[in-house]
Order: sequence, then C-alpha cells, then structure tokens
Amino acid sequence: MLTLVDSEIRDLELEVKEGEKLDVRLASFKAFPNVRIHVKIQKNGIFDGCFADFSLGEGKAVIEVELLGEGAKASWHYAGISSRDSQKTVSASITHKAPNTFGRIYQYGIAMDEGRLSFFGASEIEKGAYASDTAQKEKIIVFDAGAVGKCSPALNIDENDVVASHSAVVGKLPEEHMFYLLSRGIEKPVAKRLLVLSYLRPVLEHFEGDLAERISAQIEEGSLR
Amino acid sequence: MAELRVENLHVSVQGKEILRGVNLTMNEGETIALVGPNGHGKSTLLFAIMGHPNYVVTEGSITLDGKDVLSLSVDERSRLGLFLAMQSPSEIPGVNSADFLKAAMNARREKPIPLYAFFSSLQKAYREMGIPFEMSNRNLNEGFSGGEKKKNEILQLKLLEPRFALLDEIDSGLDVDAIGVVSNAIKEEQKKGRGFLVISHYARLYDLIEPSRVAVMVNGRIAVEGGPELAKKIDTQGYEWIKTELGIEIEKEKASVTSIGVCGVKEAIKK
Repeated sequence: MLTLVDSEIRDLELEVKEGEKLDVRLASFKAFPNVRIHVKIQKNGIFDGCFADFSLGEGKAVIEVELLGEGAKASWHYAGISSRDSQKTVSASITHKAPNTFGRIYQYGIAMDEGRLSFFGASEIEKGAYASDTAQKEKIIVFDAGAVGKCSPALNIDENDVVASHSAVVGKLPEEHMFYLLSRGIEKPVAKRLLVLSYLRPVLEHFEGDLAERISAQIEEGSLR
Repeated sequence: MAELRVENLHVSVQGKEILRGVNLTMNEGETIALVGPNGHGKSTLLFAIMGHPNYVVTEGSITLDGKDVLSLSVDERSRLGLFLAMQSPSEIPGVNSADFLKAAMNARREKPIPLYAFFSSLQKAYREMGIPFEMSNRNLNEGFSGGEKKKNEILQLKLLEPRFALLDEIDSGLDVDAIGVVSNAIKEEQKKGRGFLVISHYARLYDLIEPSRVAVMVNGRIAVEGGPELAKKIDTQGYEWIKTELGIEIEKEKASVTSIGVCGVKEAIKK
C-alpha cells in the first residue's frame, strides 16, 4: 500500500509486477496536487487507486494506467470537492494492451461556490486486447450557480469481443432533496453539508485507520470552507 | 392563541395559476379537513405555505400570529412552527436518518441536544410509531415502504413539535394497522394543542382524527367551509352538490396540473 497525503510529488512511475497487487491512496487537504501518475501493470497484476480530494487550488491531476499483461486489472476512484475559486482537472486513462484485462474508472465530484471541476476519462482497448472489460462512470453535482462541472468520457475500442461502457452525469443538486431537509428547519449550510456527506461518503470505504477518520471529519466539517 | 391565516392567496406553478384567492384561518389546537376534487389546489396550498420554490405566490398573504410567513425561507418557516408531512417524501441516498433527525432537532435549539437525550427521545418516538429502531441507522426514506415513509413523517412531527402541521394524504398507502398507529399519534399531538390541516380522500382518517372543521377546495378557492358533517356528505355524495347547491361549476382536471406533482397522477391511478 502506497499512501500519499498532501504529497508534493509531481511525477510518479509505478509498476505492478506479475501477479502482484498495488494499492495507492491519495488524500489532499491543502493544495491541489499537480501530479502525473503512470502505472504499468504486468500479467495478472492488480492496481487499486483511490484519491480523496478536499484541497483548494488550481491544477491538473493525471493518472495513466497501462494494462500490459494478460489478466491485469486496474481500478481508479476519485471523490472530491472543488470549492471557492478552485479550478481542478482530473484526468484518468486506462489502456488495455493485453487480452482479458479489466479496467474501471469512477470519478465523483462536487463543484461549489465559484469552483470548477473537470473530469476526463479515457478507456482504451487496443487491437489484440480481446475479452477485456472496461467501464467508466463520472458524476458531478453542481451545488451553486457560480460553480462549473464538466465531464468528458471517452471510449476507444479497437478490438471485438470486449465489454465496454461509460456514463457521465453533470447535474444540479436535486431540488426535492434540498426542500425536504429545509422543510425540517435545517439551515441551508447544514443541509448542504448533509448532502455533501452523503455524496462523498462511499469513498471512505477505500480508506482505513487515521486517514479514514481524517477524511470523514473533512467531509463532515471541512467541506464547506 | 396561535393563528395561521391565509388571505387572498394566489399561487402559480410553472406560470399556471392554481390557487386563485384562498382564504383560510386556522387556530392552534384546531384540525381542519381540506377536501376537494383532484387537481384543484389542495397540495398546492400546503406546498405554498411551506415555501416550495416551484409554488410562486403572486398575490395575497400568509401570516402566523401576524408574522409574515412569505418573507421567510423554508427552514425559517419550519423553525417558526410549520411542518409539512409530504405525500411522497424524498428518498435521500447517503443521508443517515439519525443524523438528519439530530440536525433537524438541533436547528431549533440554542445548544445541541445531548447525545443521551437525543437517543432516548428517538427511541421513544420509534417505539410509539412502531418503527424498528434499527431503521434510524438507515438512509433517509431510502428503500422504505410507502407505509414506513408515512410513519416516518409523523415520527418527525413528534420530534419537531410544530405549532401547525400540514398533512398531505398521510393515510395513502397505509394498511389498517398503520392507519391506527398514525391516527393515534395525530390524536396525541392534537391534545398538545397543535393545529392540523389535513388532506385525505378517505373518510376513515377523518372518522379517526375528528376534524373540527371541513374546508372544500374547488377551482383554486375555498368554496365552502363547514362542520364535520361536510366530510360525511362528500364521502357519500361526492362533489356534484357543489354545482347544484352552490352554483359553482367544477372545472375539469387539467393535464398540466398533474405533471407538476405526483399527487394527481397517483389519484388518477387509484380511481
């Protein structure tokens, strides 16, 4: 397990050797990391990457995964908030270069205040990577009128006999949910916090121990800085 | 004595006028049955009182003890003492029921409620409503059955102690036992002096909670008010007499009205 909290690393090259497993956990509470992570996965290797992001700032985080060996698997999960005047881009790609490989990209975010959040996702199945399975899901909830959310999911499939899917949603906070909470006397900032919490809580499952607690506290209290 | 007063209320939904001058006064401790044909504005009145953003008040006033309700936000109205039990409560994924209830209770207190006091009042309310206490740890209304959602609305009413409660078809989707639980809970709250404005299509609920007055909403106005006997009359005779006795032509339900809420649609299915 590789855990990076508020890391200032700019460039990270990782390799998952044959039959091995690598978990990477990123958490940002201060400044948004301008980072590029490149992961190569050999035969039957497994990569599980997860990024919980509560930082402020401007920049682009890039994760590029290459599934090089047969049976390689990769998943990437981002959950975060772009608040105040933050301008964040998260770009994830998984390239299937061998048969029977498996890739998942999940990116969930909240754009609030004047924040901007952009997700790019690319799932690519190259010629020869038959029997591969790839999927991506992106979802951004735009909380405030001044906030902007953008999703660009892409699938490039160059082989038959594969399973591929993608979905992207950018939407406002469901008005009925907000009304329900407000109608019980809950003030708007608290209602928003409950909804942020509900939206980002699933990311907690990927973290353990003190870091999970810190993320939990951040979701609960720091999400509306 | 607290008084909720609606005067000459005009409300539009998506540019269409639904309420066309409603006058209705409710006193604390009083239960009013709000009846009328489908699509004539009963739910609209309740949503407008609570301040749902889709229900735009174009004319008229709503006051609680002389205080201008229309100038208040939805959460302020709730804290002032208004409560709306919704016909189709939202399922809110990821929001834990207990967290939600705590936030709602704390919203009307200066200091946060101590944990022990919170859990004991929570347990009491769950027990009285016949809802398993484990459900307080579930996501709000998510995966609840129709009956559980309705009981959960009354559970919130008990915990939040409003002065005036607006109940929108609280009895729809309830089995006989659940109606007993819900009506008993309402009766208990009536004794505490809360005012109730209750929409229902069934005389059974009214038989149980015994409204002191009945108001009939037709064409976006209160066409007639009367005693409990009015509910019985409607239950047996329908609304035709409104035309013959009062000379009010009942406008047909419009498709655009049903599109804005589940209410009309649901009722159409029920028939």
